[in-house]
Amino acid sequence: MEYFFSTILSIVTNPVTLAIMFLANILGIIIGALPGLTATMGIALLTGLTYGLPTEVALVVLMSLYIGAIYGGSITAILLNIPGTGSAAATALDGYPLATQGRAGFAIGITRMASFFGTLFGLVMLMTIAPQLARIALLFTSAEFALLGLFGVLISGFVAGEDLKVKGWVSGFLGMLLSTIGIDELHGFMRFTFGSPLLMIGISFVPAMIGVISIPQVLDSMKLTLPPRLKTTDSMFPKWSQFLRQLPNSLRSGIIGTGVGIIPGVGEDIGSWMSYFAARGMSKKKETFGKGSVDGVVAAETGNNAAIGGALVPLLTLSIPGSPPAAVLLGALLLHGVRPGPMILFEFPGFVQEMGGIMFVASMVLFICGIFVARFFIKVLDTPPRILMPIIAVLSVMGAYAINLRIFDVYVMILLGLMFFLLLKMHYPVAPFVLGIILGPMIDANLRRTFMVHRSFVPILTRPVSLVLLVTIVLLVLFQFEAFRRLLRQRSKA
Amino acid sequence: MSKRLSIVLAVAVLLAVFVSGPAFADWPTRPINIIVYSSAGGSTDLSNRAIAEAIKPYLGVDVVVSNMPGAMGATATAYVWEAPHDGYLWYGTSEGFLGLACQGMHHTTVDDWEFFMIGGTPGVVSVRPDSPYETFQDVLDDVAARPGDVTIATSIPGCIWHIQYLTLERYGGYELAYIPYAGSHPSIVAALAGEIDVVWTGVGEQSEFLRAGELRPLAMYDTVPHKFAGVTIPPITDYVPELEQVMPLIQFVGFALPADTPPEILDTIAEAFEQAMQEEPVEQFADTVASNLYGYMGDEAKELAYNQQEIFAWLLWEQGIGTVSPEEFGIANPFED
Repeated sequence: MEYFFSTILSIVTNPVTLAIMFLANILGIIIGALPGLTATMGIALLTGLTYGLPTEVALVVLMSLYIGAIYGGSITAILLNIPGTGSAAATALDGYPLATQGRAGFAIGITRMASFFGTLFGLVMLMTIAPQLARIALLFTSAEFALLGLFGVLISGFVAGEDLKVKGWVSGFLGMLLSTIGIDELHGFMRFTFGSPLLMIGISFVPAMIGVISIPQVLDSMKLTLPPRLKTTDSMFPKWSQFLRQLPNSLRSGIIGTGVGIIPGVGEDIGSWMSYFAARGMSKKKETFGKGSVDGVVAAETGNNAAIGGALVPLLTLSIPGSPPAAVLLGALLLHGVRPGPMILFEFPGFVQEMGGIMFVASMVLFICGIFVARFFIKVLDTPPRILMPIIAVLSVMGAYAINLRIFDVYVMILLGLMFFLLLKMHYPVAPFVLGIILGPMIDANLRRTFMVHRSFVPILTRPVSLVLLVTIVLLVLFQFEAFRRLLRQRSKA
Repeated sequence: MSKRLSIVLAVAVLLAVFVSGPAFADWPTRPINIIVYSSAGGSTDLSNRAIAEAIKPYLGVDVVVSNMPGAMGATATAYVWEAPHDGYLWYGTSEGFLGLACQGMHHTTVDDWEFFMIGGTPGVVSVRPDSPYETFQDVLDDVAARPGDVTIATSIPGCIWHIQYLTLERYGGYELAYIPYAGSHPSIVAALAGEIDVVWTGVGEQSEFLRAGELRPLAMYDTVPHKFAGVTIPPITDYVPELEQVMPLIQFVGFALPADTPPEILDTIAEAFEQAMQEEPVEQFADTVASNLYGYMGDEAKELAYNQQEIFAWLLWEQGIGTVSPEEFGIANPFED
C-alpha cells in the first residue's frame, strides 16, 4: 500500500500537479455535460496532448478527465433532460423530474456524492481483489455478450416505458435495427446501404442520441406560450443524513457498476441502467421511479462511476479494456511505455497502486469541482426557453458534426429527431432507442458469432452465465403478460 | 522606364519564378502534421508519435500527430490525399492500407504513395496453456483429421494476421473455422476464455500473456526461429515449407507521403528519417509493443508494399471481402503462373 499513499502525497504536495488535476477535472465535467463530446473523445484528445509529459502527470490528467466526464453527463441530464453522455441517460429519468419539482440543486448535489462514492467503491475493488475479479471477464464469451446486451436494452425499455413496457422495447428494437446499417462487423458485408458510401459507415450513436433527445425538446418549447421557469432555490449541498440513508442503495449500485465495468466492452452505459433497474426492483416506492425518485438518480450515478474502477480491473491485469474510454486509456498507457497485463505486478510494481492513488485524489477533486461547474450550469435554468432552446439547437448541430466531421451525421440527427418528436407523442421512450443503437452491434455480432463457433444454440443453455441471463430475460418478458402473473399468483396461493 | 521594357522585365521575372520553382532549400518552414488513420494507442499511432518526437530536431520544426480514424482508415487517406502535396501533411498508416483500394474505400494504391516503414511486430500462433496442442504440428494434424472444425481468431477480417492465416489455407490446404473478432484484444480474450482453439495475432499484442504463460506460442510467421520471453518459437515454415514463397508478408507501421510530393522534400525527409530511426523514442516504441525496427524507405519500402499489395488484394478478392477487382487497379495476380 505504500505506493498508494506515496502517490497521494506526491500529488497533494505538488501545487502544479494539483492545479492540473483541477483543470482536467473541470474540463472533463464540461466535456461530459455537453452532448456530442464524450469521455472517450476527451481522453483520446488529451492522450496526444500529454504525450510529452511525464507518465504520472499524464495519467493524472487522463484519470481526472475520465472521472469528471462520467459525472458531467448527469448535470445536463438533470437540468435539461439531455444526458451529456450515454451513461447518464438513466439519470435523466428521475433527475429531470426532480428539477421540474424545483429540486435541481439537490439532485445535482446528491449525484455528485453518488459519483464520488461510486468512484471510490470501484477504486477499493480495483485495489483489493483486482486479479481475482479479472477472471470474471473470462466467463464471458460471445453468447453471454449477446444476451447481456439484449438484457441491457430490455431493462432500459422496461424502466423507461411510462406507458406499456412493450413501447420501451419497440423503441429499443428500433435502435438495434438502425444500428445494423453499414458494414457488418463479421463479414464486411454491406447491409441496408443501398450503394451509398455515406450509409456504409452507418449511424453513429452520438448524432442519433443528440437528435432524438434534443430536437423534440426544441420543437416542443416552440409551441409553449408561457415558458416554464424552474425554481432552483434549494441547496446543492444535501445533508449527510440524506446521503447515509442512500447507503444500502449506493453499495448495491457500486457492486453492480463495478461488476458490469469488469465485463469487457460493456462499461458505464449498462452499469447505470443495471443499477437503476436493481434500485427500482428493491425499492418500496416503485411508483416514484421516473417521477423524481432520489433512489433512482443515486443508483444510476453510483453505477456509472463505479464502472470506471471496474473497467480498470481487466485493463490493468489482463490488458483488456472494460469500456470504450478504457480502450483509449490502454493506448495512453502503451504510449508511456507501460504494458498492462498479467505481468503488470512484476514488470511495473506499484503501478496499480499508483493508479489507485491518482483515482483517489481525482475523486476528491471531483467532489469540489462538481460544485463550481454545476453552479455555472445551473444558471441555464434561469434562462428563458426561447433563448435557451435555439442555443441547444445550435449546440446539437455542432455536436453531431464534431464527432466525425461529417455533415451527413447532422442530417441523421435532424431526421431521427423529427421521428422521435412524433414517437414521443405516442409515448415511446427515447432512452431504450439510444441504448439499442449503442448495444445493437454487440448483440448482433456476438449472437451470430455464437452460431459460427458452436454451430448450434445449445451452448447458450449449457453455459451457466448465459443460462442465467436467458432465464432472466424470458421471465422479464413473461411478466408483462397478465395471464402469466395470474398463473404465478395462483401457484403461490395453492 | 518604357512600357515595353517593363513588360519584358515582368515576363523575365515570371519565367525566373517558374523555372527555378519554389525555394526547396527552405523546406520545412512550418510545423508538420501526421494524420494517423487509426485511433490513439494502436501500434500505427505509437510508432508515429515516436518518430515525430525523434525526427523533430532533424527537420527543425514541430511534428504533430493527430488521429483520424473512420471508414477503415479511408477518412485519413482521403484527407491527406486531397490536401496540397507539399510535404506538410504525412499519412500515418500501416499494411492495412493495402486492402483499402480493393474494398472500395479509396482509389489510391501503393503506386501513389512513398512509404517510410518504422517497424512491425511479427505474427505468432498461440493456444491456451491447457490446450491439447503442444506443437503447431498437433494443430495441423487435428485440422487434417476434422477440416473446418478447429476454430481460429485473427483479429478483424482483412488485417495482416488474417491474410497470413489465409496463406496457410491457400498454400498448406488447411481449413480452419475462421471466427472474426473486432480486434486483437477480443481475439486474445476469446482464446483465454476458451471460446476458440487457436489465436493468431502479433507478438506485440500477446506479449504480456506469453510472458505470464497465459498463452503458449506454437509458431512464428517467419522462416527463422524467434526467441521471446526465454522461449524459442519455431518458424511456421518448419511445418508448412510452402509458405516461404509468400514471405516476407509482414506488418509494417509508419507513414507515407503522396508519391508526387517534390523529390527535394522527400529527400529531406528520407535523410531525417534515417537518423531519427536511431533515436531513443523509436527504440522505446519497439520495446513497448515488441516490434522489430525496419527503417525501410524508397525502393526497398515500395517493393515490399507492392508485393504485399498483390497478396492482400487477391486474397481479399477470393474471400469475397474485396468489392473491386484488383485487376481494375492493375494489381497483378501473384497466384497465377
